[in-house]
Amino acid sequence: MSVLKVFICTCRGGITLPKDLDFGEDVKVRVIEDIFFDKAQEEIESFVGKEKIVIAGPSPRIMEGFFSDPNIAFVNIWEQASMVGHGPEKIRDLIHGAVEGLRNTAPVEKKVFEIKNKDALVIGGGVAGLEAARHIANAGFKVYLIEKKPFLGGVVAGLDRLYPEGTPNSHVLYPLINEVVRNKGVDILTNTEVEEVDGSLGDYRVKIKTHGRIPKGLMLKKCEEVCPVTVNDHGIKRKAIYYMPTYPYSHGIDFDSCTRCGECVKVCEDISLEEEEKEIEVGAIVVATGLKEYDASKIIEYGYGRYPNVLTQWEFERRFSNGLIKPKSVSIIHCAGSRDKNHLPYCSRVCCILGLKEAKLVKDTSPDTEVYINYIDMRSYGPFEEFYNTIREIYGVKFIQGRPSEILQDGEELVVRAEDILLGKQMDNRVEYVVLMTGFVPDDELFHKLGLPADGCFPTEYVNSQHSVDANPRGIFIAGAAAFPKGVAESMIDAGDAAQGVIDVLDRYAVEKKTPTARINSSICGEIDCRICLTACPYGAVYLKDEEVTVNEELCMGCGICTATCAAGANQLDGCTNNGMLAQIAATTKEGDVVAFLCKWSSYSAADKAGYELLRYPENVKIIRIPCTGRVDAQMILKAFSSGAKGVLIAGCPPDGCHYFTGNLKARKRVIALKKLIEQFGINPEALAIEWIGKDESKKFVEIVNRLNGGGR
Amino acid sequence: MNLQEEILSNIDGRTLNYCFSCGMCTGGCPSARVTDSIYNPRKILHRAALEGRLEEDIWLCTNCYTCQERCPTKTKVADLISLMRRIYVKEKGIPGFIKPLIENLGACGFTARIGDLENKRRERMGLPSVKQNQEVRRIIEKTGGGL
Amino acid sequence: MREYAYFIGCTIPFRESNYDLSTRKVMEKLDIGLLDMPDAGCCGLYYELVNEMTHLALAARVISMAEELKRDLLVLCSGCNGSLYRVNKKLKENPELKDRVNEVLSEVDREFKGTVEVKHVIRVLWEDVGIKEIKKHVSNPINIKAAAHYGCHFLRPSDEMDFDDPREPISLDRLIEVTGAESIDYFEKSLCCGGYVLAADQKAAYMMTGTKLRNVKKAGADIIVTACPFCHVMYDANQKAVEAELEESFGIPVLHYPQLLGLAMGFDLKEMGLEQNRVRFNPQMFNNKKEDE
Repeated sequence: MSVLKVFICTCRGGITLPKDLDFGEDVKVRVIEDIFFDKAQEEIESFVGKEKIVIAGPSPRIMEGFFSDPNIAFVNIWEQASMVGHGPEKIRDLIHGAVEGLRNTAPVEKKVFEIKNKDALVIGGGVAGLEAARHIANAGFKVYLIEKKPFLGGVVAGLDRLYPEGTPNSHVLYPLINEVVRNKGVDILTNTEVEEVDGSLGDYRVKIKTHGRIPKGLMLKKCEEVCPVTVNDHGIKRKAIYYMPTYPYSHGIDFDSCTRCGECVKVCEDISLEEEEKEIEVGAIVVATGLKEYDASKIIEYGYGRYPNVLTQWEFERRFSNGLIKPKSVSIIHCAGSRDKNHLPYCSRVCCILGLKEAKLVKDTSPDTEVYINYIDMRSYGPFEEFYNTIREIYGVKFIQGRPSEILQDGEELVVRAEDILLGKQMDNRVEYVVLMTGFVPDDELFHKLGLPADGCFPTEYVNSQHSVDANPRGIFIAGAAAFPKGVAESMIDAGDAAQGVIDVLDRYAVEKKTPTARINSSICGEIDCRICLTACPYGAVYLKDEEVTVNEELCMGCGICTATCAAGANQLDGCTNNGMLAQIAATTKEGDVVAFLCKWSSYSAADKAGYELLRYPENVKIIRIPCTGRVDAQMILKAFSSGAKGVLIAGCPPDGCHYFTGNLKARKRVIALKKLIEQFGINPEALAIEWIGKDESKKFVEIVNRLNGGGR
Repeated sequence: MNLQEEILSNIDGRTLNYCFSCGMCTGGCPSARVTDSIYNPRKILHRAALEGRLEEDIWLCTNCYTCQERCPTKTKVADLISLMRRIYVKEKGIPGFIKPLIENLGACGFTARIGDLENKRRERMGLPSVKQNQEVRRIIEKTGGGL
Repeated sequence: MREYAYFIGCTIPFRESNYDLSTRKVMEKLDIGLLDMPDAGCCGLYYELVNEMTHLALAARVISMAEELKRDLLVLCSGCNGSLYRVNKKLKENPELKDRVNEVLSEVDREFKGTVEVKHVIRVLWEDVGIKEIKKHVSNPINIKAAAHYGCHFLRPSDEMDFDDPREPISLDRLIEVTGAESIDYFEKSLCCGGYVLAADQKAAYMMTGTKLRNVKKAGADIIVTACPFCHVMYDANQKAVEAELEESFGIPVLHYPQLLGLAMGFDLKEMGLEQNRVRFNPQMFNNKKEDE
């Protein structure tokens, strides 16, 4: 790619071009009248992917809708030049800058993920996993469905009723499991876990381990009799080898408790305790590992583990629905360890409704039992408000607003000590049982193996609107409650969505990555090995692989924040390298200019808007478009000053609005530090400014560049 | 400066607005228990933050820190109430029951009148005497502590 | 030999000197030197409720005296600990505040430098001496049921004190057990003694004190063990008044921890100042030895 093509659109003669359009021997310039004209686009398209191209015309905001390639540099000579009354000299500077920039940027090859493997892996055999497996298999792809426990069905299989109506779990599970079992395209592996994951989208190599198998069984229960290990499974006592009426319809071994003594093998030839390791090759992975309860024993004030009648939600439900306990009174404590900076700072959303469900369960079976609910806020969102009404109106459950300070045991009774806020009094509520509605935690161990951010919080993509079309193609989909606590209905819908994403991927031969990737030159990086960029990435895409700093191509969003953090220059962002940027700055900037680094998400749009509004600002303002203010580093700023700039502006999204979460804050820190430095070079620190400019704030942009233009060095 | 501003501007008062009124503080407060919740830390914070008022009940806090330990929003409940007591003193003067302590401090440097009688007792036990001092008085005077 | 600057505050010389006496004897056996500060006076605890600068300056004054002795400060009173420990930390972390305090201290020719630590006696025994070392000196294990009263101010606020586990502390329990006694569990173990509000509302204070006495009695304790002279005053000196207020009778003797430890080390009742303890007890109760030890 040595030839550089420059296409300049005059917007039907509306732009006065400079007379001198010579940018070098290797540059071929073509002036066109109207870039929106189909023929013009066809002509340009013919070079895309083959040559480096500069397209000068309307704003790249618009142009990116027509042309997409990492080797295209866009120059805005319409909204940011002609429309604000700027002349041909500036236009020449801008185009020159883009040409030099491209010339000094190594050609980028679009990252393509080849879908080598057409199989899918679903991790988790609960409702979400089953639903996802079912859809993917129906679409004709082979699915490995692995489940850590000996039985399918996950959390739902262990419960009795589902909220809000109290649907028995069988209504959901049995048809779902049967359909999956019937489908020959699904390879079900229970007692199986993921050990290691390698590779990327379209080409994952997963090591899985099966702890043992009982492929079929006669349910004679001899194994149960001889098993020496008794387990407390959420309140129910069972052996390490046990039976549940769900696939695989034989006994199953809980390998978390099994001591591998071999007694069961002696009495039944169907049992195998052999560990099997296998490597499977898949193109996409669905993570559907479901709900994981927070450890209630960490809430020391509530006495879980010390007082036998303090139970977690599922322990209580299982014991109660099995008739093992017949409480005279129950106190259900909401937000146990949730919304609490000492435990889980977030709200797990579904526990409020789960708590109401528990209350209904008790009252349905045993109307004389006194049921109390302690809550801070009742988050029965959406349609569940009606459920909340029912619980109050029909069931007469007593609601106490007030988070208990502690739970004590006094003789046979449990004392729930809380302020009843509505009465304004601290009260002791004496009950027989206490149910702690604990929150849920993410499966960090598995996320870590998959190279996903694992920091004790649920993945933010489910709450951030950044999880949008902008996101790169993915090979790993998190479905159901594993992504964020949800109920059964929501999990299944979620799983269908994830399945569709998987089918989309597997259906193709290759998938193109949309955003550029940061690349690490390991020989330069290895020399210094400072590892600062590891924490710079807001997506956790920069990580250590065998002690080498590596970028996860799937997760990298191309923001350039890590590139700017690298003092050694070992980290370069495709299409936005240091050499390219510096060359562009040097070529664009003339003595006395104000150089404005505007981020493409907000401030750049503000400058465009200034164009639409026909506002006026000085001609010597040269705008350089960047993916994020976090990409701007000290070198670039100093280059602008040394090229003659009298003012440098870095403008981006407001503090809590950075498209890449932390870029603008990092930029701010850098600029503040740099201001001290430039003073020593004799540059007025006021000449360097960092501002937040929203996409509509055209007037603010004009004001700021005017200010910087008025000031001196 | 109104009460809220005054509290927020102090190093101990920055967490005033963290509270989301869950009642866990009052729920475990021993003073609330023995006063049948007439002393109510949650109310005190709410009243200060929203109504900008302080009342006499703030003097019943035992400073046991049970509230501050358990608070899910990490509001420094006990420290806020201590701060409120200092603010109360600025506006309404030192409450009667503390005056004797301060007088004693001014007189001898201890919160109680410790003198020959106490030292004789100590001597009998084989313990060294303690000395009265005026430094405490001077510090109280210099800082406007009410002497 | 480890040495500490020794601070006893106000309540001890006023009416709880037996805490001082028993501590000195025990520390001597443990080869710990205590450097007296006879004119230290008050730690300024109550000024936390009256005037911030006075409080900081009074506390900083005491700490500066320990700094002059170039030793960490050992305190016997939890209240003093709450005051001195936190002020020490605050001033170390806020140089601007420290400068303002030193301006005040210059009035009495003193300066707070931030060079020493403040340690409550239980913390010293637990962290600096250690159970193993203490056990070596226990020649006379006491077979008795003790109710540990931790009190409030050497565990909390835990993010500053950073000692033991504020919710399930074990330090005082283990220290009691090393003497041969059993540290029993009882209802509302973390309840405050109420001493802080005694002057403001005697009835409220006595109700708190009484609640614990009741719970301890119900759990079958022989004695209460305290680590603060004010807690001791509430449970011991004021026990009769509490009984009158609540119209109940308790009759539970209350010991300062060093008294219990000293007895287990072989000191006699007089050496531990036990005749000063107000609630009557049968002296024989401390002679029961454990069968196997």
